[in-house]
Amino acid sequence: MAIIETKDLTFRYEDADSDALCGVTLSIEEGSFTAILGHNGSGKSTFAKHLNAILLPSGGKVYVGGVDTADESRLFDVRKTAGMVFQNPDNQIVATVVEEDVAFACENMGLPQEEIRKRVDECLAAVGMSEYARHAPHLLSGGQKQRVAIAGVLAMRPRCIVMDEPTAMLDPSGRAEVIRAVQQLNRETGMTVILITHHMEEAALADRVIVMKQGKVALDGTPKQVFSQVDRLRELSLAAPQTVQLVHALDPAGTVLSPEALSVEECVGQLMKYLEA
Amino acid sequence: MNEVLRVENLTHTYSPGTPFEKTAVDHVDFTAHRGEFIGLIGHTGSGKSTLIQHFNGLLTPTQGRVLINGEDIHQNKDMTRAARFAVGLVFQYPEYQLFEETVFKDVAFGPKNMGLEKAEIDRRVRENCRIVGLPDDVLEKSPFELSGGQKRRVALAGIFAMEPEVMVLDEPMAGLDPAGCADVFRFISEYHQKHGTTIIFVTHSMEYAAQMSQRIVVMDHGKILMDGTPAQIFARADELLAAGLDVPQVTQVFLELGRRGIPVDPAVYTVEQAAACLRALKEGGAAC
Repeated sequence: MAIIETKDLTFRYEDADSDALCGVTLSIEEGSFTAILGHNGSGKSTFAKHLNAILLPSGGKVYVGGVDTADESRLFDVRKTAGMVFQNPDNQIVATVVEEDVAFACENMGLPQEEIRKRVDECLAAVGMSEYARHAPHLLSGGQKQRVAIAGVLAMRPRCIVMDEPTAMLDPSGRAEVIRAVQQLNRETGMTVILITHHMEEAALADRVIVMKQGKVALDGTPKQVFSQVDRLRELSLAAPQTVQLVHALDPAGTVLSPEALSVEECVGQLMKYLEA
Repeated sequence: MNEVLRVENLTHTYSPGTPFEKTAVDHVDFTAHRGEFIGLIGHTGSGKSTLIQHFNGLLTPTQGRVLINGEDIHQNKDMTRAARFAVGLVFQYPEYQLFEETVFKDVAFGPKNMGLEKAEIDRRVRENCRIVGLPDDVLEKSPFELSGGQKRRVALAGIFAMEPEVMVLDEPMAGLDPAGCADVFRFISEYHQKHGTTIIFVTHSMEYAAQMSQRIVVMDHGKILMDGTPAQIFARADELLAAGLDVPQVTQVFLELGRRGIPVDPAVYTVEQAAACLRALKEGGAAC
């Protein structure tokens, strides 16, 4: 079942000369992990902001959990269904103690105290921040702050989490931890994940990759289907993962080697084949 | 080579005497020479941000000294003030620090505080806006009307215009898309070539560090773990991975090939290098 559906979605910013989104029709399955790639200005963030009604369509429709986001009386339902994590954690942290920040949304939802305690502990553990529960957020590093921000959204138990470049400010280990936590959530609790990113390696972990360009969907498929198109990606000014590029450079026609080498291991397998052939 | 910046036995402890006491920089010695382009890498919490904030006196050492051109920057107030102009610090997401009414005024803010003549300020603003690719008609606009990528350029031009002796850039490409990264990369190289400024480039990315720098310094747990040329550093790629650093995929592929007995050097970091090396290996069987 689709948790998110957009029908011919168009959007134009005030005073802009052209549409930021031009007729995007997509359906996102409940429980799936979708990555959205694209250049700055491709419309990917604009798209993400439609998924919890931060922006409303100029034309077309967006349905989140079956609810039309343009229906103002259902705004709370839309936001409860799709939680949003942004790029800069500094803009998302409100409290002066980590665990209070994570509890913020739960308190606003009027949950009983024991339930809040339980969720805060669980969510901090999920992002590997339990030992910082009583710390002051401003003393944390950027990566740690972002994990706190993610925990705060998780604590609302949304059905779908939309992340707009959540790892752009993180270092590799921080990034890996966040992505691991997100993957785990997706697999174990069946939470729908929509990840907007510039990192090909992160997108490669998703079930589905959507590449946007100039407000339209340019490519849509499994990571292997999308990333094996080295030349097409280059036309879209995106680079395929290095592993794919390397295999492609050695065998552009794909006669001996499979270009679907997304992991280091798969790539090494193909290279051994190349050296032996 | 002439030394421009030196830290001696530098230690910095946050919140000493409290339960949150943390030594972020631990007895570090480091010297930067005139005109050097240094990549400073380390994962979150490795101490690199704390270290660079000592370079222009924003933080005071708990122990040790910071010297610019051989002079201790904390010996008196004037020296500390001079250090602020000698070392330009570009923080992460510098576009959040824009505040003036127009792009011109924002870029001119630093040079104006330095007490420069109006004509000189004008020259520096225009020249550096050109380096970062900002067209003249943008100069009279409000910086808040610009796109994120353009704001980043304005912020960089603001530091460029101070023409510091040492420029420290903390993750200047963070959050930009691949095309934006390539642009920033180009501006910094162009500025470096033009002025021969010492550049210290802080990044998580081994790839950027290797492409841009002649020297890479790796920090881990508040100490300097490695200091050498990109080739020397990449030869220790397995240690980099252990320190939680982002080693390019092709380097990881070459490490794994090495483990399987293929005679390859892990000091590759681009697809071109890797492909050339593998072709040579297949043709001639020669090690690369």
